[in-house]
Amino acid sequence: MEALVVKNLCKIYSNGKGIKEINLNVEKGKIHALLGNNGSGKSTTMKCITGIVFPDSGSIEVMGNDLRNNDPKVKSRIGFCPDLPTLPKNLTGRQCMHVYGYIRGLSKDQVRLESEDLLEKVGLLDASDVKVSKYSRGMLQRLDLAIAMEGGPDLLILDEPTAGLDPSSATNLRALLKKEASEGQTILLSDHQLSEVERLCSDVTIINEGRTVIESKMSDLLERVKGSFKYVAEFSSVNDKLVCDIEKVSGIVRVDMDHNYSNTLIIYTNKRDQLNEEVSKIAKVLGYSLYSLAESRTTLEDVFLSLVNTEE
Amino acid sequence: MSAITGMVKYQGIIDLKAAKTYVVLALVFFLAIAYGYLLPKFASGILFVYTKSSYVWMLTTSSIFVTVIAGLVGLLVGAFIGSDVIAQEFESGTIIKLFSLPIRRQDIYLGKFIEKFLFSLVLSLIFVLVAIICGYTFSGNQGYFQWLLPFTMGIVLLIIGFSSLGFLFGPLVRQSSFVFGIIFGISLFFMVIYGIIVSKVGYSYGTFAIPFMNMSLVPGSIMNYAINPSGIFHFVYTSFGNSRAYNISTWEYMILNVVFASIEILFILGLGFVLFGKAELRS
Repeated sequence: MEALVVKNLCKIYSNGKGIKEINLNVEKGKIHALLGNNGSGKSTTMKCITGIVFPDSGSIEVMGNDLRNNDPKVKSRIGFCPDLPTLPKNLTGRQCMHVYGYIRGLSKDQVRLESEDLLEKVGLLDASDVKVSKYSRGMLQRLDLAIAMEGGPDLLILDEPTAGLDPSSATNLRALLKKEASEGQTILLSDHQLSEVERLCSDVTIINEGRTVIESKMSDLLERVKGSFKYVAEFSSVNDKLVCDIEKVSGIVRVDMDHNYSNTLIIYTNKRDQLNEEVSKIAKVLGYSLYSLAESRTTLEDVFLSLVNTEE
Repeated sequence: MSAITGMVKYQGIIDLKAAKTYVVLALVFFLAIAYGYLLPKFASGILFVYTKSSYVWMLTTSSIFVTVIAGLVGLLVGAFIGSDVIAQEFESGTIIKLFSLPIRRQDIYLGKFIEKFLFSLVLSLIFVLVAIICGYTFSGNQGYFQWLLPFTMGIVLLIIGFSSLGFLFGPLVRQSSFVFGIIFGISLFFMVIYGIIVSKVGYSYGTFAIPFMNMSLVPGSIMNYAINPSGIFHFVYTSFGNSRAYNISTWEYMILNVVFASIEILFILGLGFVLFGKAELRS
């Protein structure tokens, strides 16, 4: 069953930014990654799903229920953490849990029990009586996650939950998410650490310039490049003709300029045999030298960049 | 627990933890002491003639400077409690959390209003009780308190009236300090307009329709009616060198102020309700 179905979602802000056509299907019990460059529309998509902004058109279904009119009954099945956790600064962590629990319609006893349980789960029980204004960014993220989990929502939506966290806090948070998912929690998250997303998520949707580029299982997406090899080739110089000529070689899937290093190309190929000789030969014809050719692992980042660059 | 009740609790706990609340409490205490003790003692003979007899200080003050005190209570207390009720949520970003929760925007607004109403009621009771204690200390037993409940409700209406501007401008301006300034600016603007109209044209039913001035007059007019239901309220208004006398029954005076003030408050809150429901977060 699908926990979330988004169809043709469109929201354009007055400044012209926004999303044009987002399609998204999140399966129940899975961790689903929503990936895209800054400004691609990830946060707007999440804000539309959670009712924070009103979409111009499109439909959103949560656990089979239409989210039109921001029906509180349907929204009670969603827990949301925005990219910047903003909580009332004068309150303690525990008080925050209580006030948001009351708004969710929980009874006093439920609020008390769930607060203790969730604060313990996110490792904030000891700091629960400290004012939120004294919390570090990592503590705020964890508290926000605990608040989002109050009332046991079916779907957790987390907008860059590890942004601004130190590596160890980020690792702890991801471990917590993984544990929640293993217990059946559905999670939709965005994250810029693609290597971590690759390990954490089972499904992925990539969006670019407000449109869905691809929706896929993580394994299928990586399968697309499985069997192909990635090589990093350094030349004395590179130009478009060199790229074009290498792409014509049989078995070569794609050739990209490396934006981080000049005179370096990234070559995706299905065969490894005689690659060095053939590339070297092409370079020589054009008057260049091949300095090095090293194999590299194909990652989600490569897939992401190739899809986003193709779109652009 | 319903979401609205939860919202009332949310706002109540936030208010209890805010330093501003204690500033407002101190202000209410000061204004009550000024009303019950300082002004009768030190301003007698300047603004009014104080007579030390049964309940007269209340009656005397109600006809003259309750407007001044009420205006200050409404303006200062109303601005303090109303300026951040909506704007602060946008300013601090906590509105994102609220909008993501399973509660309708209208219920967020309603919950906040109910909490502010209850808060105003508590402040009004404190104001009236402290004023009575001060008056008792200064004048002896008043012995006549049938005005107490309606007068307290008048103070509630007054505070809600001024703070309603925070509900209206909060979703638009989204900066509590600006909203505070707007409440001051609009209130003072209408007070000046009132002064000009009354001094140039005199009183008419139209003058009771001037917003914020009528709200300031509500507690005093309720008290006058409660003390003297069949009486005629006579007062002289002097401003810009012109002096205007006016006679009106205490019943008519109270009804006009309460009705006009209520209509305006409902209009302001209704408009704020619509604006808050449609408020868009900027990208």
